[in-house]
Amino acid sequence: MVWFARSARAAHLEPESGIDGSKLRKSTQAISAFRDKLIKRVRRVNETTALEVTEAARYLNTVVEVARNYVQSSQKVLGRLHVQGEDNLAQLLMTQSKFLRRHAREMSERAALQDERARQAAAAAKSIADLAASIERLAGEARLLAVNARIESSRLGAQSAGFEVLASEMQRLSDEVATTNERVGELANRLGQDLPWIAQHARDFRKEMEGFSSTATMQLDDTERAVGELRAQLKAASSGNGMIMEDILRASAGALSHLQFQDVVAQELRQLDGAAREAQIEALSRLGADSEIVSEVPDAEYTTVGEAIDSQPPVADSGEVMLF
Amino acid sequence: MKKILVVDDSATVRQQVGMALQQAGYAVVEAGDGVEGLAALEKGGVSMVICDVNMPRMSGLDMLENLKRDARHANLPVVMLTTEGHPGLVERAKKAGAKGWIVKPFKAELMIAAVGKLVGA
Repeated sequence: MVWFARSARAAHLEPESGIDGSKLRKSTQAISAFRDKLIKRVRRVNETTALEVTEAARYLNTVVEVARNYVQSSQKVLGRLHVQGEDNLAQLLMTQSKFLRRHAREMSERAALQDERARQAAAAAKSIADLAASIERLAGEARLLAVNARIESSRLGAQSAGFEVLASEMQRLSDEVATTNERVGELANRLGQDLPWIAQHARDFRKEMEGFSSTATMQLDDTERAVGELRAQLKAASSGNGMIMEDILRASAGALSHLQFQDVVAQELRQLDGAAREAQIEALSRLGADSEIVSEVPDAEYTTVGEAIDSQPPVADSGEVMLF
Repeated sequence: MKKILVVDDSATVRQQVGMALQQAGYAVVEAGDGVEGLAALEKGGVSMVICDVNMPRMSGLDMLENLKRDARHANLPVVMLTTEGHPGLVERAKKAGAKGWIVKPFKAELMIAAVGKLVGA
């Protein structure tokens, strides 16, 4: 080991004269006592810093755990909202929206159909009135024929029985046609009065339905947009939470890395005793102490494998990871 | 869950390595030196060892050489975690079968990445 090599080199030096063994022994005992105090002090410092660093790390761990729990619970809520938004609320809104859109369109189509039928019915009523006027003319002609038949019958006398029957039938037919026509005319007139009202109301209803359909469509578009925004916000909040957790973990890992100063410092402090021991042996050797006195030097509290192997510069820096 | 054995005489380092590993989803067992480390391996279930070099009773390198001689643990990945960076030590560890060398103070994310590479998540 390094200190042995140094001691061996020192052993070749000429010892100083006038120093006896008992004085050397006392000196080495004094240095050993100093080393004992030093190492006790070092241990105390290491224990205290280790305790403090352990506590700090524990608090840090608590912060991470609290943050993790918070993020997990908010993720849960956001996830639930997101899922509910997807599966329930938004789905429900979308279903309702489709339903309303379909019904608004159907109602509008029906209103248009109703309007069209009302127009057709009004046109049919007018045609009936026109037909009634034609029938009226036919009835008039039938009456004229009946009068003519009756005149012809009276002119022919007893031989005109056939004309008389014909005249009577023509008169009866003419009267029935007139009566029926009168009724048809009344109905056509009534229809003619009512149907324009119905047609007007059908047109108004159609306009109302078209307005409703258009407003409902706009409102449904707004609802769908709002649902889309809600989804986006939930997604953003969810991913934001994940980023917060990553930041917390990164910061805690950084803080933990810095807390390792305690171990590094502790190792350096413990090596002080090794250095003191080397100095003690070197001093003894220079003073010409024999091997018996040197063998009484207490072992170092802490020796490192590194120093025992070589003193070449390190191949890796702090934090570096080498995989073989 | 993969179990990692952390061997270090410093309680703070064991705690810090343990926390980083646990946050990454690994289970952790601890030992204070090489002797305790070898005893912990006997209990089984360890997927990897992260081991300090300078420790009382048995150094990390001695522990590494011991466990590699045991057929049951010969294939166990071992990464040294130490303040040392001397080439002779690194070479000795490599020759003894160590899979990696991390110099303290370690960076948690690099250590976790190395662990992930050697044993998976």
